[in-house]
Amino acid sequence: MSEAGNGILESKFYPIVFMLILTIVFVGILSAFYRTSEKGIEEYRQQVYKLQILSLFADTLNALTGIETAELINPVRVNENFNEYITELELPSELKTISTKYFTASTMEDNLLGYCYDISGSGLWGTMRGLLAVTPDFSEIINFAIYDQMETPGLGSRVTEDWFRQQFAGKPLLSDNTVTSFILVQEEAETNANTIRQVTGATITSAAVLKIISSAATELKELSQASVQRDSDD
Amino acid sequence: MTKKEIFITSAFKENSVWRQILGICSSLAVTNLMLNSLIMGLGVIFTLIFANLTISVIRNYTPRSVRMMAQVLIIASYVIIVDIFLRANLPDISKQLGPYVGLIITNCIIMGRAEAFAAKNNPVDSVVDGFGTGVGYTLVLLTISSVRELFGFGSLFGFQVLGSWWLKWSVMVMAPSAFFLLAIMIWLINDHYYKVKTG
Repeated sequence: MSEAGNGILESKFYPIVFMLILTIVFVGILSAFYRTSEKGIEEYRQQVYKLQILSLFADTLNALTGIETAELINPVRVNENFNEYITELELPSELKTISTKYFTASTMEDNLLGYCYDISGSGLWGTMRGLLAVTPDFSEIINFAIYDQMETPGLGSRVTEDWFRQQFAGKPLLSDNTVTSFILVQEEAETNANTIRQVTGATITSAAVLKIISSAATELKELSQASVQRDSDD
Repeated sequence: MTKKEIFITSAFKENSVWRQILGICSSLAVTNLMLNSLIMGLGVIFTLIFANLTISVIRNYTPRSVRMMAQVLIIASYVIIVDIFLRANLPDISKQLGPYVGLIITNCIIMGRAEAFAAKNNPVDSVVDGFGTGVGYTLVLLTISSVRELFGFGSLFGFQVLGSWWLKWSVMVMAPSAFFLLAIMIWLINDHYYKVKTG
């Protein structure tokens, strides 16, 4: 290498300039690569999300339409089934637990099966996001699922397991305009209408799930009261 | 050394897993199914080849004081490319591999080869070394996962090999079996190939 070249390499600013150039080059490569793959990632995320919503109503839809549950949640037919039975709507923006978008499930004969709300709240390590499907009068939970969480693998993350989420199916949510208070019991314990078996070793995460559902139920109660008030004013 | 010798040394004679005991974490974690192991292995091969190539190309311009920072930046970038590719094209496998794709960044094998070989040798030899090291790592993963999948699920690469009569060994699906199998593998290779004396 020439003397001038050696001089540059020995300059005290050279390492800074070198790292700066290297960082810019690789950030550029990554950005370009992400841009080209972004569509595929988003499509898959949407497919999983739609599938999750369909699976919450699968048993109810199966009972009313006779279509097999496996067929309703078939990944190949997810867009078709979603467009046929699910409608996306908007809620007022002042909500805290519930996302402003929500979904209604109905059969082709327009029998309203229920609503599905995208709810979220704090877990132990970060935000947990879930889907809460309820009957049209908010009296009962049809189904529930956590679809995004950052809880401890093997402990808190077990709130996504079927045995945990399926406990909520058929449980009361609002009765006589009062939000049901769920109580956590041991994982092996017997349950009744108000108790939920917690994940052993993940009490905080289990309690956080109950808190998210309870906050959502309170907001739903207020929404339903506001809607009744609006109707009577009209 | 010739290219063939470099390959044989990095893949077999000085295999990163059974000889240098590196990359053990992922060897234990992603060996429950052969397909997962293959994808993980391909991800590591890709990262090793391109990280070694890049580090070798810029080796004469890399200041010593920031060389490890530069190596980590380069390795992390290629791992993120693998992660994005899997999420966009093989989302189910990406989900099964979970955080382990991202953790390729911390795989000692890649940093080890960057520092021990690519930073001192020409780009072609570095690529051959990266490929050989990756192949050696993938072979270990596939060997362990073939036993675990066969006994744990009765299948190989998802194809049912053993009939419904086969009683699945649930211990093979769980993490401890990978410890036992890796230990047995290292013992057999050390005993038969390297003739290690123990006392």
